[in-house]
Amino acid sequence: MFEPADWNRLYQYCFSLTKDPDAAYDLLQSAMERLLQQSPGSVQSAKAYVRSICRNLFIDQYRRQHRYPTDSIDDTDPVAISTSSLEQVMIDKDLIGWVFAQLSPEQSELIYLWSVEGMTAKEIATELQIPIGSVLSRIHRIRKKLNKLLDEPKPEVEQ
Amino acid sequence: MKKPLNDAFDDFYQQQQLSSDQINRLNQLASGVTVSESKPTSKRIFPLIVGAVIAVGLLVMVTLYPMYLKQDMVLQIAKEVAKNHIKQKPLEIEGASFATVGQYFQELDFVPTQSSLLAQQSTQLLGGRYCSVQGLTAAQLSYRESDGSRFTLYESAYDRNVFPSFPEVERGERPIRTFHSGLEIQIWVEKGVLMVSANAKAENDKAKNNGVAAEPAATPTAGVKSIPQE
Repeated sequence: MFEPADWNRLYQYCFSLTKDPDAAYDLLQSAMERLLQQSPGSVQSAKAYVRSICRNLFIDQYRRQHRYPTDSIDDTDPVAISTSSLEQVMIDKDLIGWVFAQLSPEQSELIYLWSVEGMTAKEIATELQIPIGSVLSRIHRIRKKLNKLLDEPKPEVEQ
Repeated sequence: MKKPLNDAFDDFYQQQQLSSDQINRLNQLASGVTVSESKPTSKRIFPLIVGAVIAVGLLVMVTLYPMYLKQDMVLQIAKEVAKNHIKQKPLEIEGASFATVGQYFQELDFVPTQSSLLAQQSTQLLGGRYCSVQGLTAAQLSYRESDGSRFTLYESAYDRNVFPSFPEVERGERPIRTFHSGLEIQIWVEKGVLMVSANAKAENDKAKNNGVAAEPAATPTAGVKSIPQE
């Protein structure tokens, strides 16, 4: 069904949500088990379909433990134009793990779709089934959060 | 070292890799899943159904329409030659020699020829006249059989634009046999000429002559009716 590279991409997506390797693997496994329970059929994109199952499972699990954090949406934010606002950000590669840990699942999911899957804001909106304005607002909030994180005193990073 | 955010995150995510054991387990799990990447079922099946219906319709038309045309043409020819045979119009040329009678037909687009299926005994050529089969000029050859009955053979150019595919005896095919107005009618193609025979000695003689029974044999001697060689 999937090549090893496909499995790893799905696993990385799960990791963007869970931020934990074991939880990411469990999530992917649960998604495949969920897929097995469904009647056979065709989908437009198997990987996108599995990602949607992972997302729904994660949200369900997360809601049981915490309230799934959803950023408030400000569709009128003038700065929220496209993913280009993120492309301008330069970051020290040694800080990336720390920055990742500070992002909400919703934010790191968006970052994954943008940086790994290479999706545009419009494609992300289609994938997540949300308005394009919501994606742009999230991008802007990520940008603001990154600015804040990168301006504040950095933690000790192991070289 | 600073990198663009997307490159930095891409590198970061690429470091997250499943072990081969985990991949194997996922593959085992996925072996029971039959998800294929394609259009949604409803969108995929509808054009297939429409296409299948059209294909079956075309197939039926392509298969049955020529059969219908052929059946219709057989009926029309049988009706025409039976009517002609019964009228027994006067012969334009009389003679017992095929060579002599054949010489008369100078206006035809083909040369009248003796059929290998009729190459036998006890019938006598009486003569011939011009006629037509389905609008095409034809030679009508009259024979008298040993019992005094008349046997008529019509020969016409085999125009494939006018006639459907008829049995060709040179290819081992057997003549089409039908009945009309109490006459036995047989149709075949030989040496590029359409031949139609009509005679009143139908059922009984066929069995006796080893003739072209319901689905007659295609041997040269299993002809429509025996006509003596000139």
